[in-house]
Amino acid sequence: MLAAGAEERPLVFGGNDLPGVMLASAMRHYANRYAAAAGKSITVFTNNDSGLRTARDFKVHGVHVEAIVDVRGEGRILDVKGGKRVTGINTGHHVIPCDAVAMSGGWSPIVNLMCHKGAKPIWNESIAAFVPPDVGAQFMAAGSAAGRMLLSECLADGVRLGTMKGKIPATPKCRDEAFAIMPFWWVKESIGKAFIDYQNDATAKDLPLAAREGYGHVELAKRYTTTGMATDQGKLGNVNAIAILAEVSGKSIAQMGTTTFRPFYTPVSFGAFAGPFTGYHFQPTRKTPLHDWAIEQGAVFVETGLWMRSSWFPKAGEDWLASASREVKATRAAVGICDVSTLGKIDIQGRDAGIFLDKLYCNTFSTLAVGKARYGLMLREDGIVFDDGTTSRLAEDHYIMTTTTANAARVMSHIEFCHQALWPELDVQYVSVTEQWAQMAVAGPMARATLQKIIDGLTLNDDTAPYLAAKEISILGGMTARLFRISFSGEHAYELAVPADYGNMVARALMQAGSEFGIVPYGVEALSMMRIEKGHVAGGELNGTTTAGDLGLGKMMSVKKDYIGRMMATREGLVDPARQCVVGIKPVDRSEKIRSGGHLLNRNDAPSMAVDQGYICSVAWSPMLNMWLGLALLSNGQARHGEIVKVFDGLRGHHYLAEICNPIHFDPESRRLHA
Amino acid sequence: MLRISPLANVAVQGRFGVDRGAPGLLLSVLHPLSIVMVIARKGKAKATKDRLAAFKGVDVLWAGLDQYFVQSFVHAENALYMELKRKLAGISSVSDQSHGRVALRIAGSKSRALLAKGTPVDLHTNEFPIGKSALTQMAHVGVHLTRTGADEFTLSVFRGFSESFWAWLISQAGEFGYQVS
Repeated sequence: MLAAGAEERPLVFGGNDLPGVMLASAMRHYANRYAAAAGKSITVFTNNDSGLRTARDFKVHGVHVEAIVDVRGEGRILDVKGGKRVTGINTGHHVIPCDAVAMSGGWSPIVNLMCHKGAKPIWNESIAAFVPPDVGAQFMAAGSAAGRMLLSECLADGVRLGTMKGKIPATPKCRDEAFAIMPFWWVKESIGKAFIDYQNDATAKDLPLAAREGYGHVELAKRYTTTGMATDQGKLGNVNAIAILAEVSGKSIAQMGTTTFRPFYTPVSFGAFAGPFTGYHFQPTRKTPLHDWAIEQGAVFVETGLWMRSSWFPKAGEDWLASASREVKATRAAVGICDVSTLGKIDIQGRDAGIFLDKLYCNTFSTLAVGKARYGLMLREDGIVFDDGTTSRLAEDHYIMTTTTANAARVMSHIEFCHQALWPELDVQYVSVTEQWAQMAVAGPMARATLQKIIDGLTLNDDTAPYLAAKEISILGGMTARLFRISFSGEHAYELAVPADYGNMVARALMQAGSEFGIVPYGVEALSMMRIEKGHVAGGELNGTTTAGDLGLGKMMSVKKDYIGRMMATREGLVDPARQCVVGIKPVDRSEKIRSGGHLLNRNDAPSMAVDQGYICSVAWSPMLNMWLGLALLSNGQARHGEIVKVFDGLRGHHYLAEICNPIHFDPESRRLHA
Repeated sequence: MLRISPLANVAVQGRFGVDRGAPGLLLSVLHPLSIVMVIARKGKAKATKDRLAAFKGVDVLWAGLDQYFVQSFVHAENALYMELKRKLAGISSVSDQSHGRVALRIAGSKSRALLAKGTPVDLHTNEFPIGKSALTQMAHVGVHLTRTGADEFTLSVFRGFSESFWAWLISQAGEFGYQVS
């Protein structure tokens, strides 16, 4: 049984938010329960009998009632007088001094809980209020929650529906006061602001504006004006808002209807929500399937989103730079392995999988041969680069997509949106398989020889596993695995994916297989050094401001098909040759340490952001070239290789000269990739 | 090939938490379990459902609109995957998730009370009867939850979250007393 009562409504008139203007029932409670007077001289403004009762109660307690303004007798308060508090009222005919205004706009049954079952409340003209819907005998409203405005009616409901049902012979007797109301929604003559939603500052002028602008539907008007979106969820103001909206739209209140009632009815403090999610449990931690192996190898971990990634693998006495540099050198000299399990992996299947990918990526995947991998670039609808990764075709109707670690969830949502909202006609299915696979990069001149030792019945060479091959293989005497010949390090490299429960075991087997070549584990720091040496773009460059052209990948944008971002990418500002695009950068003084965030100026410009030409987005120590290197975004950068620029590092109060160069700092002919 | 659960050294056996009377909860890691995701191809929702219904010896759990987790202790993971691929060729898309998800069984008189601390799903038997599954969240982690008995549930989470999820679960289980087996 719902016996939640009813709540009084404010009236909408100029200055109805001044301190001293209160709901009449609130003032009545202060007087009756706490013997507190809300003012020395009170005006009551009402459209119903409940306001008169308030005035009577004041008098009983000896509180002076200066005036009763009853809309049923054509009375109006046009505006409340006063600055920081009430000093009087203007009725249009008189200015009456007073220090408080009690207002009553009628009573709204508290229908919320019943409406949480999905039903809409019903407008009742005689009491000018929404009453609960009939949701069946299992859940009945009683008393003023059901719209009973008289005490005798409430008592009768209690006898009929309450727990003492049938045990009370007769309804208790009481003295009833009549209840009558005249619907009255706003004082149109008001000059001052007449608030409807007191928290969100929505006034009586906002709703007619919403209707004029075409947001006349109750759900749209709510969002346009933010009426009812404050913490009280419209308890105080929504009925007034709906009535005004109905009036200006030429509809009845019943036709206008209500917005959806949602929990909570009563504000719940954040302390109660916090629950056990503090400290260690504040957010979950994700561990990769190679976590235990990495610990055995002495990894230092770094938090990447929720993931713990192995960052570097120091030997005694090494700091991060020494460790990562050694890892790079050993990998480029022979072979290294790196945990890349955190990259997002999405299984994409179905008859239209290829067509689907063609629409998602700016380059083409429907033509990709089975057993091959291809680097893909996804744009946002606005033409800016969204994400990149390698996607492989395992069968005619089966692709495996990889995303960046950071964007894995976002890409999955994007895919779901695109299929459900844009191209529901496509026969395509997708599911995240990120966690199914332990994936490791095996890179370096001895990568092939290392892998060969654990592969069953297949000789690896450029015919069986050419560059960009993607194939299912068997390893370690019968384990199904996937092998991709792809490279982020620039080395002859592979990525090997095995079912996650076997990850640690396979990593250990690879370490053993590679021991004769001096295999090392390498972490994300070494990975980052190698990709910057090779000029491969990553998060620093795919930073939500760059186009495919800016990244030097403009040729990937197909001209033979449509895809997300195609139209917007042709906008003038996005194809301007003066746009900042990716270049390599290295210090003129080779001992200088370049750092991310430094801005690029013409060589002879005085340090100032007014002459800004671009900035450094990624830097790394290059163990191969023995200097700090970077990737930068520079205006018209592709035409400026060889130019000397000034780096202005305002944050660190430092400026120095640097040379703009090809972003591929190391092995520019990519001989190592195919070695 | 020996599969190693990520909870192998985490979910240690024994009696924990409140130690008076019978434990309110029995927790166990379901490992090694084969889990294969099956998603109906366009227009093949009924065919997928029918074929799966005819496949005996496995649990077919609802996992989204026209999507199912097919679970089995009997079939090895790759064998189940290959068999489903064959049986459902052209009808459904099939992806192995055996290693990607970690499954737990939660039984005992307090199992509903424990889960209610984490999920907004109404676990009353009228609303969530035996055999029904839901996709929900507990402790910020996505959870696939199934009722398998009056006081018994199974659930699975993505593998990488399993250790964190387990830590949260036992922190909430302590007040009821729990047995890990």
